[in-house]
Amino acid sequence: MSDDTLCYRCSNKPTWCPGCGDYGVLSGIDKALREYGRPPHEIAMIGGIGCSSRMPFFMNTYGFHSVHGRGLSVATGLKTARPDLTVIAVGGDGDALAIGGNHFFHTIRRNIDLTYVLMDNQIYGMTKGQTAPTSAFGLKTKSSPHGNPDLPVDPVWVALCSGATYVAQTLSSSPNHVAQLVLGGLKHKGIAFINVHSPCVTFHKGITKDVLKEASVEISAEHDVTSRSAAINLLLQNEVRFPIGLIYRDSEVASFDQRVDATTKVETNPRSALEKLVASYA
Amino acid sequence: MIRNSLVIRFDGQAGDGVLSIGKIVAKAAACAGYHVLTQSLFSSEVRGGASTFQVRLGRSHILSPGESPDVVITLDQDGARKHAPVLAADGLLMHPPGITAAELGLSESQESHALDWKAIALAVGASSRSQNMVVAGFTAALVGLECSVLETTVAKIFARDPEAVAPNVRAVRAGFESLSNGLNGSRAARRLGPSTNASMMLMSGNEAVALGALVGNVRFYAGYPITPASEIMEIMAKHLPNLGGKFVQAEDEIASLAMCLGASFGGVPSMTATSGPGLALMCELIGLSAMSEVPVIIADVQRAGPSTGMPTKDGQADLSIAVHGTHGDAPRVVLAAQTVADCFHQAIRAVNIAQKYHVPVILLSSQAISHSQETVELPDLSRLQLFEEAFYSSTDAGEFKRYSETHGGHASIRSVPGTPNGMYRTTGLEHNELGNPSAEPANRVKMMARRAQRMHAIAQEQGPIEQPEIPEDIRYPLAIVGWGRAASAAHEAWYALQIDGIKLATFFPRLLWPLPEAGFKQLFAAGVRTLFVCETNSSGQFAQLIKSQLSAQLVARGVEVVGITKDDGNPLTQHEIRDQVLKHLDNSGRRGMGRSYGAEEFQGFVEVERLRAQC
Repeated sequence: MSDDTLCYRCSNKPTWCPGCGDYGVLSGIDKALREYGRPPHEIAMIGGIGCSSRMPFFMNTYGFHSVHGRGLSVATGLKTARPDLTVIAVGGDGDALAIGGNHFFHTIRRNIDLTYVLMDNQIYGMTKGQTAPTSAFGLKTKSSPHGNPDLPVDPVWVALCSGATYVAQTLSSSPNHVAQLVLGGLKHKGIAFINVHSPCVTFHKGITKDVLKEASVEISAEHDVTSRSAAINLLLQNEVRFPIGLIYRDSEVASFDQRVDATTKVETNPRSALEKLVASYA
Repeated sequence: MIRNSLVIRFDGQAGDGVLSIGKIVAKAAACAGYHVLTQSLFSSEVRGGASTFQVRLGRSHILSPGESPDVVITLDQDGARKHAPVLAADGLLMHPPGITAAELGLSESQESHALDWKAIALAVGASSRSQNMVVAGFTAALVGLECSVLETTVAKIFARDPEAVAPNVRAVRAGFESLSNGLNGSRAARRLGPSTNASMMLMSGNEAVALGALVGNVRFYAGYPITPASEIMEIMAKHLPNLGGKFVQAEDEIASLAMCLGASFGGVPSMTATSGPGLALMCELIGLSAMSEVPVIIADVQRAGPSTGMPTKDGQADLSIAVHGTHGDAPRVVLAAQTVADCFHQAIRAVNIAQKYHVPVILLSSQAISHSQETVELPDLSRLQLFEEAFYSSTDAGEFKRYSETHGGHASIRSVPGTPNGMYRTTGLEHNELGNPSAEPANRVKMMARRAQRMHAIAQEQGPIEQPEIPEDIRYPLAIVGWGRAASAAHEAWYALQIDGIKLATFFPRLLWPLPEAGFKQLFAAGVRTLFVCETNSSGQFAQLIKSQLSAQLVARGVEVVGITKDDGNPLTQHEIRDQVLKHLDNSGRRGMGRSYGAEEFQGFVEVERLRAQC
């Protein structure tokens, strides 16, 4: 049930180009939050740098637009220090997989209780069209005028192999589907990774919403989302077309804060514990 | 022979438990209220081989590990041969039998005795491995410590192995008694005068940084292991969760600082610790902290650089990166600890400044302090001044202006996530009062001024804490200036020069950035025309900072800045500083005392104290 009195969007108009896929993602996240129902002041959205990372500015929540590639680390710190908050991290493919690749893998393996929405446009849009880690092999861009010599990375593979406990994929042209998968992520205890193919209409004209639609395939209802091997098979069987929907979910794995809490005994009187600790050096 | 201060050196093979001897003696002396400073002299890259540990005990504040040892105690003959040449002029050398004083080349005034440490241990039913406990007991008797304090310490060490307690305590007692039994009287005794202090804490610089941060209310820590800073992280990992805080071992130093900024955005005082290579990686995020006004504390335990440099060696060459590291004009505060006690108190100060002014604060320590164990007076926690940040709360649903205008450079109130009606966005982009991106020139000028004024406010509040010492009867228009570990040595050199009749001013600030200009101006007003700036680096980074910040005053008053630097991996010593000052006086014809000086003339601070006693 969505609560219409709760407003998650602020008056700042998005700075994205008309037709940018990220509008659909923003709309989907907004819808998911309304369904989820936590008040805006209990939500924080963390971005890195890039077009999609600007999303916190368009939200009526707490927001931290940080530096390139480090959004997930900022989000980790906030969620760990303040487990009472709902923390959403957003970013693009360059932010997540190039400069922030190290943090992508480690944040997932820690199973930090975050919802991470990656907006993949297969290009560096904010810097006006250079080859990105998800750009196709052979793609000609300003930084690969003779064709991209690198093979693209599939963030869904990386997430699954890093031990992600919630992995989903969809298209920005389906805001309702984005909303459904993000809502699932918000409810999931642990890292929820949602890869959204979100085209850049200005600097990567070859990848349109129709092209993406054509390149994708809906996951069948028979797919067992609780099976890691089924999830891997799904990716193996769909090398040409990428699967759309919930790929994998494991609700049994403890999140980072749960693991820490399980091994920690917080002193009932921290003040006197601290005094004792200091005195132990005397 | 009653002493105010003693330098005792222990030597043996790795595995002999030399470190334990030093630690037990240090702990017992601290419990008895003596000041203690320890230094390990082994090279950590080498496994096996010799292990040397030096303990300096004193009745009042100790500023350095000392140079020539008054007492050397070795567990083998090689150690005796190795350390005999550096023994103080009236020193005592204790070693196992099999080598004579003549073989050791000792002078008439020096003394040596043989005691069979292993035999003493075996005689009381302890194993020969307990020879180190025998030495610890002997040392306690030698300097006049109570045996009971030592026994308690040993019992604690073997708490996990109850069966080992009794034989080791017997070994300690046998060692204690061997001074009077084995040496037939106490001619060899080097007793410390009675202590007038209460029992003191004994800890390393890294322990002190961690403890200070915990006392200062740091409740989030993220870090990455690096020599020589790792112990700070280890202590945080152990204690922070129990105190209601959170700890994360990050994948690198960039993630460490980013996590701290996330936690700090959430209203939790946050710290990371690192060494030079890690600080270099953190620079972009220092700028984010400065721009977004999200406070954070970074402890940098400096080691000799550049690059990987000499990870286990001392250096003070991170001042420039601490003051200037990151792009753009980014405000930040730089503090530097000079002693272990300083590590504790400056860590608290770092938290206070960060939380009050919403800036990154970099606390510089260094390898020489980080692993040195020193005594610290037990603080009364209820009397420490801890800044408690007040956060925004409102029932007004209007937009919260996180970066609203303030007066006098003070920080504007923060709203922490979870607070109704306080939502805002923070960013490393130039922004307006709401935190929304803005590249509008007038806004840019206003925001740059806002951040610059913050630094002025900090300088005004924190600068006056840094006071130079200007003797009323200052005889030379000179001042010794120093920071970090070098300041301790410089302070000691100042004592030595004073005994020589050379009275100088001193200035040893802990706040390095913003530069405490008022202190320097006081020196100039008192007539000081030469600043000797002591620091363990090649280029004289603090001297350069002084020159760049105070150029107008330096030129107008004709003040020269003379660097006293060293960069060989070891801390500057008082001896080296004193030599440089004297050389400069001679060369500039200012000394006018017509006497020569040399290394042999001055053999450590112990002698200075003796001279001072004669004065």
